[in-house]
Amino acid sequence: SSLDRLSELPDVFRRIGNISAMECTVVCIDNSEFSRDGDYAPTRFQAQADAVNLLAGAKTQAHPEATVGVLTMSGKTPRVLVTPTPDLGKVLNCMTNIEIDGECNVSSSVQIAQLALKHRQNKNQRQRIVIFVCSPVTEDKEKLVKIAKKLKKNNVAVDVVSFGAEDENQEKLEAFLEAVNSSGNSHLVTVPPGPVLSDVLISSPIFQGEGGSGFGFAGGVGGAGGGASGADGFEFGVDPNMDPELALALRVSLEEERDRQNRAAAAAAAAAGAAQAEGAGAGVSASAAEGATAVAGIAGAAATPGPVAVPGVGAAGVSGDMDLDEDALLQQALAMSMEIDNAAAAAQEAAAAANDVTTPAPTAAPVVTPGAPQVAVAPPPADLDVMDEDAELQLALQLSMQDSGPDNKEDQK
Amino acid sequence: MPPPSKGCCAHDHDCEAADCGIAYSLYKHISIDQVRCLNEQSPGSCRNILRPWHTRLQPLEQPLRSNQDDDEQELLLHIPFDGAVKLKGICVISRGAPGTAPARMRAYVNRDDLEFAAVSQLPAVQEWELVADGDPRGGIEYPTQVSRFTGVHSLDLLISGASGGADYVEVTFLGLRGEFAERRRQAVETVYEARPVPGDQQRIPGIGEGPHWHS
Repeated sequence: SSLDRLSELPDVFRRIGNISAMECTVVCIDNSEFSRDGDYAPTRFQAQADAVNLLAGAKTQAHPEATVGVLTMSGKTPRVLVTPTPDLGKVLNCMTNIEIDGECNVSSSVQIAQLALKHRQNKNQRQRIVIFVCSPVTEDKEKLVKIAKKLKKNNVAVDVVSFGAEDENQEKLEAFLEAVNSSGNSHLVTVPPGPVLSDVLISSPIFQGEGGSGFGFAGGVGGAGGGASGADGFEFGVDPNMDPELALALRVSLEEERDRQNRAAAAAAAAAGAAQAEGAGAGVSASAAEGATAVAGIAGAAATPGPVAVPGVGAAGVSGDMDLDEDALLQQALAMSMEIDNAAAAAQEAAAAANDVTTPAPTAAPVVTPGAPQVAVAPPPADLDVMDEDAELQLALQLSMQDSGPDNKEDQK
Repeated sequence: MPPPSKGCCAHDHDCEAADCGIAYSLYKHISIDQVRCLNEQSPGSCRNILRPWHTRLQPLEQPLRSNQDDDEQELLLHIPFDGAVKLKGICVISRGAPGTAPARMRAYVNRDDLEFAAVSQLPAVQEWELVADGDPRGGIEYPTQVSRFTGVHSLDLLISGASGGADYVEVTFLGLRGEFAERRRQAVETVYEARPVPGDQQRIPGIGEGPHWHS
């Protein structure tokens, strides 16, 4: 009967509640003298600051009404620098103004954090304290356990990040965690010296959230792979939610870059093969690589590996290229050498046309490619999209011939 | 009123499930997803105890239990309603292990910021001593001073003190009896106009109807 069904409702609501955990988080930072230590690069304090920035970003991302506050534990007294706010900018800003001073006082810091949470504006938010510890904890275990029990009673979850003084603190922090943990809502992460602190935290339950509800960009880190910088949590260092157009543009340009690298590598190998046929030798293959670089030199920080890689391919010499994919490259080289003889004149004209158009790509950062003076006339991507593959290869060859032949320079413009 | 005997409850009428079930119907008007309880052992178990009257004797896999503590066994239950309630009576059933029935209950009205430090200093709106055996058949109702419990939008109950010396308290069922008035605390949707425009009778409901309108 429907009356019976009503009793099932609590279960359903409980499950729904777990998925979007709206939290108010207060982050406690260890800015004691111990945090000057350089065993975590560049200093313990700086590693902590990076991690806090990422954490605040993750929390505010996970839910639009989530709030984050910051509190420093050392100094004369623990101070709340930022009361819990959904504004990520405030949190990032205050991190730059922290001074290193004194010793940590964990017990009063936690009590002050608890007060800050008690006076949160939205009472529906869950309460969480994240504590970074990189100095020896002076309180004894019983006192910590008593504080933990009080936190548990008031439904406050605690995440502890222990680094720097992990061995001395391990026993105390484990006892603390066991006392405060209520069905897995609290975590203790111990980070040994060596790996980057932020990286370890990103894959830890502190960022992953409770009950498998991961924060958005944890998947992004896994998917970033390839060219994205390792330290940033987001692909290309740009949050896809905050600025989707920019993130999309960067991703598209990275893919275009990859395509071009592939084609340019083939062109370099083909050109090298053709150059061998013409008897010009290693000099031409190097400039062919530079020409390919000019073709490939498009857009964005993520693209800088590209131009560096391609000369490597060319400079490795003809034999290196041939080793990579011998049969395919040989075939291509043969085909190209047939075409080159026929299309030499056409390539000249194509190069002249390309040189007239000098507008840079809209999403491109200034192209930084090694060496070649011809690179200043980097052909724009818009044109290359229109040109088909053969025309591009001919263009690459033309540019490389321009390098090796100073006489041809007068022919341009 | 005759003393309660087996098979009959302490209400002064012949209690049939239907009657009492209708009276104890305030559970329907609770905003169940905003119910929270401090110091509960398993998060979310506070919602299990707010259920229909006819299910009050059924056992729960996850009854509301406080965390184990030798000194103080307390639960602070926050129950928001989605309207205004006139609370007349509360029924508390504890069918857990012997000694885990709570001994005291204090009620606070229309506060959403309570936690244990605050309630220790705040005088309760009303306080009850609960029966030591936990009222296993649900026959006992704790009446409220109705004048103090009108216009209740949220109810906080501090349930404390294991009567039998156990180190936790357990509650299996919580029934609330009273009247409900639909009075949502939400923004009113209004349409403002600087001056009346005759063409508005399609857009604004109610204009153009009724005897005082001249067409």
